[in-house]
Amino acid sequence: MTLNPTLLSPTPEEPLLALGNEAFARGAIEAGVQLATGYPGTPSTEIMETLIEAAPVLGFSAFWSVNEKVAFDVATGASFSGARALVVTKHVGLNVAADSLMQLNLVDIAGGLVIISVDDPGGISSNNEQDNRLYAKMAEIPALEPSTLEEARELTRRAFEISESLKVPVLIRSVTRLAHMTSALTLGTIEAPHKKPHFDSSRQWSPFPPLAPHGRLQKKLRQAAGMLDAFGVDTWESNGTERLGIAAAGFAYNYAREAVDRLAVNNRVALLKVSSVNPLPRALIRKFLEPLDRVLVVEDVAAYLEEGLLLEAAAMGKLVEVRGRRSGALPSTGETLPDDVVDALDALVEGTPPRLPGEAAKPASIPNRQISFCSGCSHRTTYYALAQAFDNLGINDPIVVGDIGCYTLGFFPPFNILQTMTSMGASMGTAAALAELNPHRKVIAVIGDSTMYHAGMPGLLQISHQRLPVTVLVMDNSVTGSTGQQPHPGSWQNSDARTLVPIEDLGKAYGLPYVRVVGSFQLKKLPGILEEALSSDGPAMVVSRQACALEPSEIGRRAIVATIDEALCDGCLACIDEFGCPAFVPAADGLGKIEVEALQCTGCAACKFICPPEAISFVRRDSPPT
Amino acid sequence: MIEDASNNGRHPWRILTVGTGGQGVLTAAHLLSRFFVARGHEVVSGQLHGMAQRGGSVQSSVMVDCGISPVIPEGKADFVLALEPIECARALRFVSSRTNVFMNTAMVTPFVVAQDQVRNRDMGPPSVQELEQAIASVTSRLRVTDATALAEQAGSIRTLNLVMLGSLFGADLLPYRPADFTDTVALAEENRRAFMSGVTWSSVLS
Repeated sequence: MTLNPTLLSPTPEEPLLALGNEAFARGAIEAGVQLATGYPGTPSTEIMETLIEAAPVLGFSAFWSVNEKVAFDVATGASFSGARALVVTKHVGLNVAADSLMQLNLVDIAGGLVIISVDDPGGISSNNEQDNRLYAKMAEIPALEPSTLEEARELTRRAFEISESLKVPVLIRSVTRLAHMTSALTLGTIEAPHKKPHFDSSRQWSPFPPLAPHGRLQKKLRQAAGMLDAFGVDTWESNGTERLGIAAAGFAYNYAREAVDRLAVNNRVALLKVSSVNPLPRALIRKFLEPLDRVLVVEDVAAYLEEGLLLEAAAMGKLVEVRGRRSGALPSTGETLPDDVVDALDALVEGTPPRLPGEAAKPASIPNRQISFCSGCSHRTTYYALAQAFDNLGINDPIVVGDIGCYTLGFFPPFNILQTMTSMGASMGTAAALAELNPHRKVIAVIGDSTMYHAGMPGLLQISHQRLPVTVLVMDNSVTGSTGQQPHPGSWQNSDARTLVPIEDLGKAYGLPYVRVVGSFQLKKLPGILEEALSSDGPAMVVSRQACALEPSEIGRRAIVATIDEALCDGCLACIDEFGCPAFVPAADGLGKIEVEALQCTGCAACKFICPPEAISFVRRDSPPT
Repeated sequence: MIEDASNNGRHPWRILTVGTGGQGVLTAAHLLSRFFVARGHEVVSGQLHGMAQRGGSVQSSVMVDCGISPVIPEGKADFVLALEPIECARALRFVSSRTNVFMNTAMVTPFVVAQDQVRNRDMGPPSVQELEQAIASVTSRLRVTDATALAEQAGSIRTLNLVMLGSLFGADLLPYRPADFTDTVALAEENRRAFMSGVTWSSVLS
């Protein structure tokens, strides 16, 4: 993405049109952040991308870390030096950093440390939906949840203040809709970095022994309640006569507000907006609940606020019907959407039983758009070669273990080759046990370059140490591809000022007896190397290497385009059934032959050897590829 | 259900732009947002990024003076700019009899459907006529043309999104003239030609 220079303005200007994620970045900039780090992950990525572009201009430090735990520990070191530090992650990334979080919370930190977690309700770009507000509760740390771009910016600033003043990490929870929405953003003033970093050696920085720090942590959380109250981040709208209420947390507040307006029930429904996730604003919740008979709670993923209200009502000895995701008034899975909130509020106002919304009506016969590898993608040729290697060796029951990245599309046609996928790096350990317990079958673990660095390395070490016959196939496209081509320690394009650590060096250092590197488009060579690896007794590593087709240096690089000789094409469909490049389309004459869509073809020429009647050749192109 | 107090197709506006990855849906929404902000409106725009670059559907909302939610409720779109007809039909749940739909008839056949079609010629995508009928059964305010052809005439199919923006301003449904847009948002010559061909198309129909 391209940095909007207005985001660097030292003082407020005319409101600018900004992305939600840019508002978080601006908040950190205004707070005088001195070090920002994270690992790419949709929907959080643009926060760090903005900060990485801003850092050299404004003179702070911002960079991608190898994984979220490393990012969290890096931020810890910055905080121990008295610097303000930011960690940015998608929801599942905090699982990786959770070990560090659950211990740093007990340490009196120095510089403010803020974690921005962008949750993905509905799992739009994720394997799961999980509610990271629950981490704040488990870690007993203050947490905030903004509903608008203004709040995203302002609460990020406030989070640094709370963190630094109470010496405790603070969590900010965002969601996909907020991260990727655009609206006007008013800027505040940028604070100068307040302190020169200095590590104080006169004290120890550790939670041990943990009991006294735990008590101090609980005291900090009580103090946080007072600070949040003073900031006035939570609001209560009431005319004092309502018997009904709607309470909303974070971004879902927008839907609550809209539902009240759409149903024109402003005079009958009190409205509570909760941006303090932890601790919840107990006094305000009590005021809100006191006169009410029925309440609808609107929030994303967990019934966090709903349970908070139930608990508070019980503690007050107050009988009130609380509806929400837990009660069944709103869907308990998937993103909370405005039409569902309107229906649930309508039922609340009418006093009718809550009803679960049905599936949205969709016109029949609208075909889905199956996602596939891009044209020119190296994962396609690697899977093609792997299928060939299985054929050539007569392996008909391989176990192919997958991991997280674009290559996960190997689950789909035409390859249908992957059989498992759980978390980042999980292919290594999973494959280890599959190899041990299924000794007569070939086990292949497919993992991307960035995923290997992120969490694959410890599992790889274990495979090597235990001498398990796993073939580790590394899909190395030189970048973190699926989140938008961010660099990592193996990115040769970005290695000028940094040490390049190629994957094959890891394999050799870890003692794997067979390590080979081969170009992904070399379809004459790649299957044979995979066959060698699959035939070896111990652990083997094949690095299939070719830059991501969406890497800026790759786009439009090749001046040729594939073409199909109509006289030779016999309509066998091997280019579609076995290779599946989207540049191959049915010929316009409708006679069952194939032609090449020139704008789709990148000229990678990897399809040179895949056509049985050899109908594919290459010509110079006259218009550039997309 | 209590009477819905939201807008009746007049100002404020909810504009939905749909198409496939790479067609320029997000850019169209961004240009619209910039225009309305420059004209003093409050704008909120929303989108879901998936793996759209890899051939998926893309939808983006532009909400003008509608409050703070970026999500269009069902049946509440005032305008739909559809850069592709299958994606237009997919967005039908946002359409009511009050919705003005501008639809490009040039189809981007889904990859898998195209492959099925080679194997079995009965298994094609829905025809543009079928899709058009499905939309026309909900709203009569439907304008269709081969906007991809207009973009090619303007210089490049990459200007398709500008043709569609032109159609919105040419239909005389907003209190802004096409020149208001071109005066506010700086356009390269090719893009301006594409915008004006969209204007011509929809102003002839209107």
